[in-house]
Amino acid sequence: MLYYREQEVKNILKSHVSKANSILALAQSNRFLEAFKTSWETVQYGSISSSLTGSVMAFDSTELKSEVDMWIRDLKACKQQAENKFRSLEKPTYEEERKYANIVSDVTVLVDTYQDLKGKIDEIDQDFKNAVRVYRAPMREALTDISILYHSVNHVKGNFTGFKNVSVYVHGIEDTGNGFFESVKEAAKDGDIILRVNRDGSKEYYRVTILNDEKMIEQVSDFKKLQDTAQYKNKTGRLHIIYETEQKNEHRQETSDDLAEKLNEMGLMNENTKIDMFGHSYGGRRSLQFAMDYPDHVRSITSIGTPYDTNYLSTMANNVRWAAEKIGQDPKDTSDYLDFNEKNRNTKDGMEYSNAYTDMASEPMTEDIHHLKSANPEVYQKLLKMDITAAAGYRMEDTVSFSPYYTASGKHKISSDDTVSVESQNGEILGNLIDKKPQIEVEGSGVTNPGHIYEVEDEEFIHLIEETNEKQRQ
Amino acid sequence: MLKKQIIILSLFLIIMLLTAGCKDQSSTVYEKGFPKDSPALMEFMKYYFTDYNDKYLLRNDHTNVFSRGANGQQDIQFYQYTDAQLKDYYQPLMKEKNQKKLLHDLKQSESLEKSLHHSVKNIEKYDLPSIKMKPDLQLNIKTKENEKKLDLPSLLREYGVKKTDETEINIEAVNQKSFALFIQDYSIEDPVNRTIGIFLTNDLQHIETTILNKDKLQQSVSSGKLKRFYDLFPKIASSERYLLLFDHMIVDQKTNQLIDIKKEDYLSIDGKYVYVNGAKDKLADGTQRIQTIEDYAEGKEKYDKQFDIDYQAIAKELGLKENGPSIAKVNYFGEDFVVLSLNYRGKLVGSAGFTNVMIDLSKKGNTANLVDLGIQSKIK
Repeated sequence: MLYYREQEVKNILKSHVSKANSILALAQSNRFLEAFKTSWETVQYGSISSSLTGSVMAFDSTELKSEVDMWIRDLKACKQQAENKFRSLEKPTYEEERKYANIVSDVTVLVDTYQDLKGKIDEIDQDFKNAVRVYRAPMREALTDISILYHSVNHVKGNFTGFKNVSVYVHGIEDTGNGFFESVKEAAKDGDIILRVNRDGSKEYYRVTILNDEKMIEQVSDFKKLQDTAQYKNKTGRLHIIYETEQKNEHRQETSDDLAEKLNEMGLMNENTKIDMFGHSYGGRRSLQFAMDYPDHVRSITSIGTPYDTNYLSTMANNVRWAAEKIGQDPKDTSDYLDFNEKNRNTKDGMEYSNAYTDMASEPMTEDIHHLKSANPEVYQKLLKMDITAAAGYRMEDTVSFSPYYTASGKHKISSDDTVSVESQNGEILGNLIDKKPQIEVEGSGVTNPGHIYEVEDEEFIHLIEETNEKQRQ
Repeated sequence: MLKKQIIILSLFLIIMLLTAGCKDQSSTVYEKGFPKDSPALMEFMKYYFTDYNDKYLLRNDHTNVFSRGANGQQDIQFYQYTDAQLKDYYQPLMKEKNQKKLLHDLKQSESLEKSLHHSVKNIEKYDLPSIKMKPDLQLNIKTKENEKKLDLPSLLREYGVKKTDETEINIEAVNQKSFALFIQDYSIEDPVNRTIGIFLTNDLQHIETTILNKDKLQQSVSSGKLKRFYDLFPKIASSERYLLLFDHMIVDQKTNQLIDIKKEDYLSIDGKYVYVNGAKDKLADGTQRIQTIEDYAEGKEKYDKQFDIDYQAIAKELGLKENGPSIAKVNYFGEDFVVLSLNYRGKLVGSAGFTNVMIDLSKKGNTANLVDLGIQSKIK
């Protein structure tokens, strides 16, 4: 120190060090202890002597920061007092001048140190919050599993218990359930029920009937009225659930957890109900995740446009988020979910998150499948038995020749839907897990009007939905 | 100098006036938000708040009367509300920011039964029959003039109706002389032959039945057995030549033929108009044409109403970064009101946004209101 520490400052620091030790004794956090010790190397008064003997951490970062703010105020008040006293002197002596300069210099350094300490507290707090997010997902999954088990053992019924054939449709990134709803209206058969589970939490009910030779999709105002319909009472038709994720770009694990919770509430997570999953784009990954988590309940998966491998465009959107935002995408949209895999993360205002973009940028679906294969081979065997169809959309393009010697004519098939490669959509990396790999020509005209956005409405894909629903029936 | 400036200013004003004058009269102006109230909007709301098994029956002195179908062993019920009550019910939508949520809440049966659907105490006032469904499909019918038990399995044996069948039954039409019932028998395997119409005089002495598909109804119409009951059904053209039966069938009284509405055309809810190409899987934008049922039936190329829809202009108004509409459908078509649903594709992935487009044709100038009400299916 290039200045002498005055008694006034010493008195203040005495109370601060004592307070810091008592806070740390209560918090019992090694990270906080280290942060305070580092700061005290600059404070150079007393010592941080708390030990970590307890087993429970208890701290409130807001309280901690307001305590440090109070310390800053103490020091600033001391400086102000010194300044007032100094200015009141007509002819200050050298000692008085020196004392004033010492206090000003000391307080300036100490305030900077305390501000830095507040920054460290924020950082630690964020780290704790991120860690909580990482561990919350498996905890929630476990609780849902317990709830499913409880329902099954105690025969707890939900509103839709008794429906044997259930189709669940899951959209991809930046999407809603509207596209699937239109396709399902076409694919649904007489006697079926369509249920929309919307992002805002509302539910819509529709019944499918034939009236005057025409298929009718009639909205039923609510569940109370649905119960009176013949379609609900008979339960012989299929229940189609158009599921809209709570956050449009949430990670597949979040979707799987939410969906399991909702289907369990509806009374559909039992051995009598078989679920056929349909997914478009990232919705296919979400569907496969659900099947991995609940293989006993899923009978089949049908996807189109799904990047089972990592995806170049998602990597771009995840890395250059502002550019993605320019064209209306929302790569920062996320839920509370945070993946264990640190590569499958990005940050927003200091908060770490994992979502569909980080997932497709960092993890091919083989990673989790390989983990599953070694950790739980029985589940892997169930996935092998499951009917999995990974359809691929592709486009046809005019053949252009750059040769001066001949003119090409006609059209050729391109190897992607402009967004995801056919190879990735067909799930080639998943090997024999995929049973069928149909390829469907879709509309579109190139990168600015990609085939990917035409897949859900494609007639051939709607026919595939119809076919799958017809085949997967008990 | 001043003279030159006046000349320039005058020329500028003339150009402005000419430009305004040349503007396409049919071009539509798009406005975000819920439309202003009008009788056409009220009519739409009437149908929106009608449930799948409800049937709008009649209007008497500003009071609208509906029947509610019976499923299984229930009675057919009747409810009513006045125009003013309906208006009060949906009026909060005019001020609400989240209209989609409010409309969804207003559609809930608990809310409707509590605040709008008031049961009809005196059914005789409107010549409504009392109909009670008893076990084994026995129908107890009581009118002002008579009382009778109808044994449906025996009456409808030729159509394969059995006493254990799962049915829904409702009143389709009623007046001082007769009434018609509409039965859906879900136990009949072939859905085309599942819908049955029963026509009764109020003295319950004359009963006619028919299957309600195009072929069978045509046979019944041709045989002349339903003529006695034609008064029950609304005449939907100025010439009184055409009748609307069971919401979808148009009968030409002159030829005794059913009018064929093409698959791609959309019949208005009152049967009076046809929205040409309005039932296509994807509605094309540009000029939209509406014909009267008379002109349509006679194959004339005469259009009663026209308006423009421009998908790009709508997207621009909503500030969407889109790649064209993936969904473009008509959800409601009344005499003066059209509701469309539009969903836009995203630039590279997903959707850019959804909106309903509400066009009130009763108002001067073509204004379309853009508001997301979450309406994506046909309003009956």
